[in-house]
Amino acid sequence: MDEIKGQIEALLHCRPKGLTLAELSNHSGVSSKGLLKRLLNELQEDYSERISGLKIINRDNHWRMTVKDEHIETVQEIARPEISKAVLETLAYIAHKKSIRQADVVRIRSNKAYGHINELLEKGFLEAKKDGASKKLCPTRKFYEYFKLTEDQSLE
Amino acid sequence: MMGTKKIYDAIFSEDDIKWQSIIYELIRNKKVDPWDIDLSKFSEEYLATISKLKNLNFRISGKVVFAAALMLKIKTNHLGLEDFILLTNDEDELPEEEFEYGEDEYIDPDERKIMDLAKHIRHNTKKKYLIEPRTVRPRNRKVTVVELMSALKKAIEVDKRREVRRVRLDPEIAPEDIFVSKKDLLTDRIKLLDKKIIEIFGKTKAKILFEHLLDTGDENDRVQTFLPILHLANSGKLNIHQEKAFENIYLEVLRGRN
Repeated sequence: MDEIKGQIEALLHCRPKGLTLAELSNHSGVSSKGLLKRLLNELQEDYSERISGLKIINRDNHWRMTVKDEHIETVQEIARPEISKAVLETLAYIAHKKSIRQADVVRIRSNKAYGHINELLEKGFLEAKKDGASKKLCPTRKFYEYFKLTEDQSLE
Repeated sequence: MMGTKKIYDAIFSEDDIKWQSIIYELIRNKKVDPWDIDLSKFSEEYLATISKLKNLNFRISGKVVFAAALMLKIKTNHLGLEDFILLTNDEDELPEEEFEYGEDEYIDPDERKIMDLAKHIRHNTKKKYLIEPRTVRPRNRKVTVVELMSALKKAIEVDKRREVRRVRLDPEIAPEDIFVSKKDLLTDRIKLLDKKIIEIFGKTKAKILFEHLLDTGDENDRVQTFLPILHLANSGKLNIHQEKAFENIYLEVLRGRN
């Protein structure tokens, strides 16, 4: 079992964006998803118990090895953020407004905002609802969980 | 090296089909060391060829770009740069086993040639070129709420700046008013100037010097007078003469004018 756990650890190490259970099964040769899940949970516990700067997380069905929250400040200078500066500004602006038409975001943030919005929708930080010819954009539950914010909290 | 010269010749002069085969054969027969192609010489040859051309020929530029990409890919495959191969593939795909492909699998003939050639070079050239591949690409880190706040501050600043610019750009006069008033002015000016020209012509019966039509003679007056003249000439009422640029302009009133 320890050897399989080692294999899983190596796979997670080599794929920063994470792997699904199916991918892990495919690359480790372990067909039982139940066993894989058990080993992943064990690995997750191992990392949280030992003194380590890393942790294993499961986000959007992707298992990933990532830096523990308390060390983010340490690596801030050398590791690139998951969301680029310009995209983060667009996200912050939308979250600040809580609900805003896409056309209004583009008017303020320029045409590049279309690309930002698509990226944020794909990452699940925003949701879009139809609003006439445009869309109404709102931050999702994932956004609040990611930044550890509550929905009634003002961003300012 | 003689082989290198042949590569240049093949790219710059051979027909579209032959040149690739020539490169493959030269490398395979070890007449060219793919690691030792002088790129500055290559670009010099290219520039020399371009300067000799009488007509623009995009085929040569296309071949040069394609040949450069081809040689780069051969080297990349040879070096086994998985990071690079990963970057050129879909992000979600893991690198496939190097140069291994099933018998039934369709591979583009050019791609197959490159893979075969890279395999050939790998087994026949010096080991010193091989690079130990890195296993992990840089990891991205989580974004902090502090970064989110500072991004918001910046976004609000941009919003305010744009708001100020919008207010500045807001027109105080409706565009229709500007265009209507200008149109009226121009038609009025044409009529007035036409009347003036007829009066002067009635007295002199000769060509009229443009200067005689001016009021103040300043730049604005010249433009405001010349523009109606162009309209009158265009509608067949006048001919405009000027011997040389910047010399006097004379207006000839046409007899059969409408």
